[in-house]
Amino acid sequence: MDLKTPLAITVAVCLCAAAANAQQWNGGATVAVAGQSLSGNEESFYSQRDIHRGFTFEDLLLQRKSEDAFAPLITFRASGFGQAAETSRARFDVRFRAPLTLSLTYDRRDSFFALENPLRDESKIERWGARAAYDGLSSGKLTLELRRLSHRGSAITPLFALNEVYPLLTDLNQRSDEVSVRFDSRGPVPFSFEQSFARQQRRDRISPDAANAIGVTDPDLLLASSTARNDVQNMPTSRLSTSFGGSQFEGVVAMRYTPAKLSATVPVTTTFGIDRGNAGNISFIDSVTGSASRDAFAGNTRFAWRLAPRWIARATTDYRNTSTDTTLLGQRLIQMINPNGATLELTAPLSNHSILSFTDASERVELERAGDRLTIRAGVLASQRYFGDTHRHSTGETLSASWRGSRFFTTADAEHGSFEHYVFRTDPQKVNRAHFRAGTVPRPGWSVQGEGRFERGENPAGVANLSHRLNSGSVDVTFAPRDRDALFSVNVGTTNLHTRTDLVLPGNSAGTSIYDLSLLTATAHGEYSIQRVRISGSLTRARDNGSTWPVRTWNGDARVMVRGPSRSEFGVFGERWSYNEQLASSADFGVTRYGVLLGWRLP
Amino acid sequence: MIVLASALFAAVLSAGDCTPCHEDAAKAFEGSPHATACATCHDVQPAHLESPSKETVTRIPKDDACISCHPSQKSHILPAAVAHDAQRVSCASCHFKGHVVTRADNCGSCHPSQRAAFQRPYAHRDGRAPLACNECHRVHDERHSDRLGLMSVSSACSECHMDVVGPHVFEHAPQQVSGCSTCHESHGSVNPRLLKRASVTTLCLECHAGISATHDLTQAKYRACVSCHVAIHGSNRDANLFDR
Repeated sequence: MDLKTPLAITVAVCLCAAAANAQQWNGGATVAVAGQSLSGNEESFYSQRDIHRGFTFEDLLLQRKSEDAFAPLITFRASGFGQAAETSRARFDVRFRAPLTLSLTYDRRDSFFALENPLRDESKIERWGARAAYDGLSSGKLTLELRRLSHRGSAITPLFALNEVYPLLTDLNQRSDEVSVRFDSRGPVPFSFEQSFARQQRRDRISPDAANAIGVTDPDLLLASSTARNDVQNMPTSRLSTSFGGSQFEGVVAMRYTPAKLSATVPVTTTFGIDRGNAGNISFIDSVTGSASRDAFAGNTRFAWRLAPRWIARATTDYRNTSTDTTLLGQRLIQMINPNGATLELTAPLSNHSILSFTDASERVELERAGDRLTIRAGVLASQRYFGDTHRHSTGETLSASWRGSRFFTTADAEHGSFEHYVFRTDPQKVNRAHFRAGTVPRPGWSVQGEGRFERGENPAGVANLSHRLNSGSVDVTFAPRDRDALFSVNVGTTNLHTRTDLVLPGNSAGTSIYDLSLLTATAHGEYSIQRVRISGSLTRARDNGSTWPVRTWNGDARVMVRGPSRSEFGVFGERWSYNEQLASSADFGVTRYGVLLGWRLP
Repeated sequence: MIVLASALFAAVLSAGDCTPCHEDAAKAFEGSPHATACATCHDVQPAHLESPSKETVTRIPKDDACISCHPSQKSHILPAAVAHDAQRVSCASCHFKGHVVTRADNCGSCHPSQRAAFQRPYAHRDGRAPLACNECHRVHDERHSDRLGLMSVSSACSECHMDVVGPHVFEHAPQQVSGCSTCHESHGSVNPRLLKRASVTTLCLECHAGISATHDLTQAKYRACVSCHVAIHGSNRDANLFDR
C-alpha cells in the first residue's frame, strides 16, 4: 500500500469527525476494501481495467449549509484515492454570499497500457483546476480559470537502430499550465469572450532498459542513451461567440483562434557496443533544435429564419484552417571508437523545413416544415477541403422526417455525399447514410428507445477499392418508477462492420485488408431499495462473431448495502469479468473481485 | 386578475409550504442551486394547497421555467444544444427528476449505441463506469461557444492527452486533418488502444501504400509498425517518426 491511501483515509476520517460536530454539515463517506482473484493473463486484464485489490473511497461528500455564513454553501466531494482504483477525483466548491463561486478540482487517471512487452506505460495523468466566477456585474459574468495537467511515470518504448529494436526506459515529465479569463455579457446581443494561455513543457529522460531487452540475440548492445530534451509549446487561444435574434430570426457566430508555437531542444546521445563491444563502440550524438508555428482558426455561423408559422429556413457554415510551419536544424555526429581507442568522427548536418496546411469548409442549407406532430427537413450541403495541391469539393443531400406524439416519437435521417479528388486513399468517394430513431413512453416511468444506423462507403478500384458497410442498431428499455427509489434497464446493441481495402504492400505486391466485426452487446442493470436495504447489479455480455478477431466477454457485478445503526451503512459486493478470444487463448482471463463496504452518513 | 393573483401567490409560496407533502423533493433540493421556491418552476395554483391534484400544478416544468434562470440556454429556432432542439429534446428530458443530479450515463438512454460501445473490452472508462459524456461533449452548448465540432475532436482529446496533439516538427498528417478518430474509436472498441482495426499493420497499410521494400512483412518486427515508428502521433526530431 502506498502512503497516499492511509493519508487520504485519515484526512477523510478527520473531516468526517469534524463535520459530525458541526450541525450544519451533512454528507457521508463510503470506503471499500476489495480482494481479487485472477486466472489467465494478468496483463491482459490490467490493460482493460487497471483495478487492483486494496482500499478505495467509493465516495466522500461533505456539505456545509448556512444561510447566515459568509459562504452559505461549501461542498467537498471525492472518490478513488486508493490502489484499488485507477482513477481519483476530488472537488471543492464554495458559494459565497456575494455573487461569487469558487471551485477547486483534482482528478487522476492511471495509464495502464501493458499490451505486448516491452510496450509498457505505467504513468498517470493528473489534472488540477481552480475556477472563480463573479456574477455580480451588471454587464455580465466574469470567470477566471487556472488549469494544470501533468503526465508523469515511466514508459518502455522501442528504439529502432542498427536494424534492430532496443528497449528504452523513458521517464515521463510533461506538464501543461493554462490560465483563462472569460466574460459572458448580458444584453440583447449577448456574447462570450475567452482568452486563454497555455504552456506545455516536456522534459522526458531516457535510458537503456536492459531488463526488458528483446534484442538479446543481437550482438550489438545498447550501452547508453540519454537526452536533455526540453520541448516548450506556447498556445494562446481566443474564443468569441455571440447569439442574437428573436422568434423570427436567430443567429449564432462563433470563432476560435490559436497561434501555437513550439520550441524543441532535443540533444540525444545513443551508444552501441558493436559485437558486444569487441569490435568497438559507435555513438550517435544528435544536437537538434526544432520549432513549429501553427495557426489554427475555426469558426461557424448558424442562422435561422421563420419564413411562415410552420416554415423555418436554416443556413450553417463551418470553417477550419490550420497551417503549420516547421523547421529542424542541427547536426548528427557519428563517433566510432575501435577497441584500441582510435576514434573516427563523421558529422552530418540536419536540416528540414516543411509546411502542413489545410482548410476545411462546409455549408448547409435546410428547409423545415414543422407540424404539430410531423416535421420534415430537406437540405443540401457542400464541403471543401484544400490540402496541399488537392482541392476537393463534395456535395450532398439530406432528408429528415420526425413524428412526435404524446407518447411516441420517431425520426429518420438520410444523407448522401460524393466528391472527386482524394486527400487520403481511404477516403470514401461516395457515402450513403441513414439513421432511424424511435422512442416511446408507454407508461409513466417507462422509456423505450431504439436506433438503427446504416452506412455505405466506397471508392474506385484505381484508388483503394474501398468498401465500407456498417449496420448497427440498439434498443434501450428503462423503467424508473417515480414513486420509489429504483431503476431497471436493458440495453442491447449490435454492430456489423465490414470493410475491405486493397493494399499496396512493400515491393508493390498486392494485398487486401478485411476487417469484419459482428458485435452483440447486451447489458441489464437494476437498482432497488427496500426499507434499509439497497440492491444493485448489472450483467453484460459482449460477443464478436466477426471473422477478424472474435471474442466473448461476460461482466457482472452485484452489490447489497444495508443501513445500520447510528447512520452507518454496511455492504458487500462481487464482480466478475471474463474475456475469451476465439482464435487464441494467450490473452484470456477470468477475474473475480469481492469486498466489503463501510459507510457513514451525516444527518 | 386571476393571473395577477396566481403570480402573487407563487411569489409568496415558499419551499416550506410544499415540504409536508413532497418531503422527498425537499430533501433532494437541499444544498442545490434549485433550493428556491417550488412555484418558481412548478407554477402552483392557489387551489393546489387546498385540493392537491395534477391539474392545479405544472408537474414537469416547461423549458421556459428553466430559461428564466439559465438564459444562455435560450434558443428560439436554432438547434441550440447540438441536435437536441431539432429532436425536441427538452430540459426535462435529461434532468427528468429535476431536483437531483443526473446520472453519469444519463445520455445513454437516448444514445443506446454509445452506451453499448462503452461495454466493449477496451473503453474510455472512469474506473468501472463509462467516462462522463460531458468530459468531452459540451452537451448544453452554451452559446455555441465550446462545441466539440468547433474545437475539433483532437482538441477534446488534448484535455488529457496533451502530448499527442502537437504542434510537432514532424506531424502525422491524418491526425491533424481528420483528428484522432481516424485511427481510434473514441467510446469503446474490441481492439487494444481503442483502435479501429485488430491489427496495427493493416491499419497503417490501408493508408501507406507502396512503402519501401526493406519492410519485410514476413518478419514480426516489420509487422508491428509502431515498434519503430514509435512517435506515431508526431515527432520533434525524426521525419520517420522513429523517436519523439
